[in-house]
Amino acid sequence: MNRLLWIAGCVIIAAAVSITNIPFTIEYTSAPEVAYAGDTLLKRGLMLFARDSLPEAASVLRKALAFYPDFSLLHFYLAEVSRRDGDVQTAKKEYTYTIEIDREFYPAYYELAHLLHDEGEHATAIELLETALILNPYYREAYQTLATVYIDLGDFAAAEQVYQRLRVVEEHMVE
Amino acid sequence: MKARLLLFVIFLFMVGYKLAAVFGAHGFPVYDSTPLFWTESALQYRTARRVAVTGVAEAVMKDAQYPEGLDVKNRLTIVMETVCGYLYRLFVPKTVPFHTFLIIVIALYSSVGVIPLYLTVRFLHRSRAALLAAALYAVTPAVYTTVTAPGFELQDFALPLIFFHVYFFVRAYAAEKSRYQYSFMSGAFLFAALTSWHLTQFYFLVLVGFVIICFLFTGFDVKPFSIIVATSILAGLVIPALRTLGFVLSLAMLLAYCVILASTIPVNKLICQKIVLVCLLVVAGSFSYYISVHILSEYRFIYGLLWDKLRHFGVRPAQTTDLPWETLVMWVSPFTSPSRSVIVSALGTIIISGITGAVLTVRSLLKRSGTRIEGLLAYFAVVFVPLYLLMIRMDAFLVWFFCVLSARLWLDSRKILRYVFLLCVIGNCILLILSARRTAGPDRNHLLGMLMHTRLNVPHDAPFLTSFAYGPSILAYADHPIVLHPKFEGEHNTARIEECEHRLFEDENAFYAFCRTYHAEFFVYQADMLLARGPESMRYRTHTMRVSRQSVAYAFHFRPRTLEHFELVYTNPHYRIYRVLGYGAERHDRKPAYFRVYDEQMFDVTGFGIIGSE
Repeated sequence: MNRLLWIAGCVIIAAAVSITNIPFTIEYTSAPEVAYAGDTLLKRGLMLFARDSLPEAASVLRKALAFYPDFSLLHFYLAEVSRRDGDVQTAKKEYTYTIEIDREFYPAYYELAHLLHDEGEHATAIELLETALILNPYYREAYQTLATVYIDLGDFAAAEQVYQRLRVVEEHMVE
Repeated sequence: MKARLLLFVIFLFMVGYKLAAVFGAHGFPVYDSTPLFWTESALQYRTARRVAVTGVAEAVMKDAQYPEGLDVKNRLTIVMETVCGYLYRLFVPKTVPFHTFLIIVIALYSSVGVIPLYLTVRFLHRSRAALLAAALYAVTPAVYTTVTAPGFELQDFALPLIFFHVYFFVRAYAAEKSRYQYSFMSGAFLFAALTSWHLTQFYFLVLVGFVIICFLFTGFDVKPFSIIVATSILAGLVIPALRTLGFVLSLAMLLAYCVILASTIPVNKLICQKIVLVCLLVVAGSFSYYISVHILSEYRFIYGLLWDKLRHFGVRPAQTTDLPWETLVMWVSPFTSPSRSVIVSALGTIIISGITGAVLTVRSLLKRSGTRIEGLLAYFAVVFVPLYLLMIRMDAFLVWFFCVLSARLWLDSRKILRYVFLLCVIGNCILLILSARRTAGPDRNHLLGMLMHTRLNVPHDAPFLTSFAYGPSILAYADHPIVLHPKFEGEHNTARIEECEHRLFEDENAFYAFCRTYHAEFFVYQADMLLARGPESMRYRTHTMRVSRQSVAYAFHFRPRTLEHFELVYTNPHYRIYRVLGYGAERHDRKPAYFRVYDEQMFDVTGFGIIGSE
């Protein structure tokens, strides 16, 4: 027992000394290439999206999600792809998730509002567009869509007010 | 046998809880670690990954403190990173992602601390009390804070080693036989802990404090302690990082030498022995003060922080100018004081059982029925209470010693105390189940966006300047050299951080000169550099609660187009990447994406302490 304790102590010290001294190299070596497969998938997905290969793009972007499960931009692109591919339900789900992750991501509010407006959910669409405009008061497309929603609802006065707001913003932007 | 099996079950519970908390966290990246770890953990992760991939670590990590490099070998302790890197390299199939492996390993070795706890209590009392103490430890939320953050922290590696050292120290001073062997084992574990974590020496200082008290007020056999000091001297001589920091001349070591020197005076001259010790202690204290002020500035930070905290009773003064930058930069988590709610939620019922155990122990000591070892454990618990109130990081020590003392409740003749102990275990179990799991660190979505932009669009090897806390994320996940990092042990690093933080609130030319000096090609601006004014903010610690509109930070935030030497290349609500232009280089202004946080008209800037004309 006594001898064992001495030996164990020596082993611990020797191990600590070795670990502290052995692993170093004095030569400068550039960092080993780290492959970020998620980045490659994202780039490929966007390329396929640009080429209109929508099912393939969606599949690749879904694979990228395994790497970056909570990356708002990725969810947004997946929503865009799904929407162009006619899969509105997935698009809605992905836009909603984008907003959940990133409350400042105003294009997601805008696109989701579009979809909801098409489905007749005008009140929610208005709410989303107003939020998008709070996040970006210079969002011209959002003003126009908001006005269109009001016109579709027959509320021309509200649409007029939206155009006035847009005019004020545009004047300000010119300044 | 049954007790060991139950201990193993407790150990498995701890590991399982940690793994469930990390892997079960929403959005855990299974296949890619970006940006799972941050600040020091990210730097350590990067070193470990490098060892795992190449089998070596750079003696001077050029990318970490660009351009001259961080002297890893002589300044840092990288035992944890090396062990993890080699384990992965030698034994783990490469299909297992490295960060997943790291989380499993951290969960395993950080839970080992329960074994010395069990052994200590079993040695002092009996196995049932030891098992209950181990169970109490396993269900105390504070035990899980760093691992489930998730973090890759040096303390999680070093603490089990320190606790084994305590166990063998207890054996050395309690046993009749094999005292020197036990003290050698104790010293060996302390040696390993010293090589793994710089702050181990501050624990050692606390231990030396106990030895001094014993020496002054009771008869104390210094020989076993001398063996521990000898192993520590060996560590100070053969471990490069400890050698560079002059560990053999640190306050803890100087005080330890004093005790050993005083013990050489014959026992029959007891008064003389004690007078000599007091005189030596005064000399050692003065010498240590001189060293930390004039020779080794690294010690100044931690001692300065402690002194300033004591001066202000742990509360930051209303006037930031009352404290120097060196103190304020350290006075951040995990060196802050815990709030009352944090104390309750992190420690739970252990406050009751630990304090009761300490009171019972002190009472038996006063009645002279307690042993010196019980005195040691009570001493540690008592010392770590104020230390914890000053620095939340000390919770790991406090919980461990409180658990050891809690076992006293089980041994008391009054049955009610047994019930109290059991209720404490159950209470903390409920607290642990109900406690909200939180991940520490910045918003991952925006950090990932910035890192991904860097990886995809910035030329390889372009050096980056950003705050010292975020630098390691860029180094670890985008493989770009960084100018600043959070290892304050790095030579000249703190002076450089201080200079950078001050220049951010000066004019553009001053900041540009800084970038050029250190060859930074890109600068990552964070929205909170200008807007945050809290006690952990850059403005608070640089005493610039009022910032001029002419400062470069203001331009980085609100007016990037007015900048002459910087070009905005990426923006999201938290981060902006600026390219540092060469002298006379042309700007290529692109319209950045709009985010209201950067819109001057959205703010009443005077409310943010921003002054000066348009």
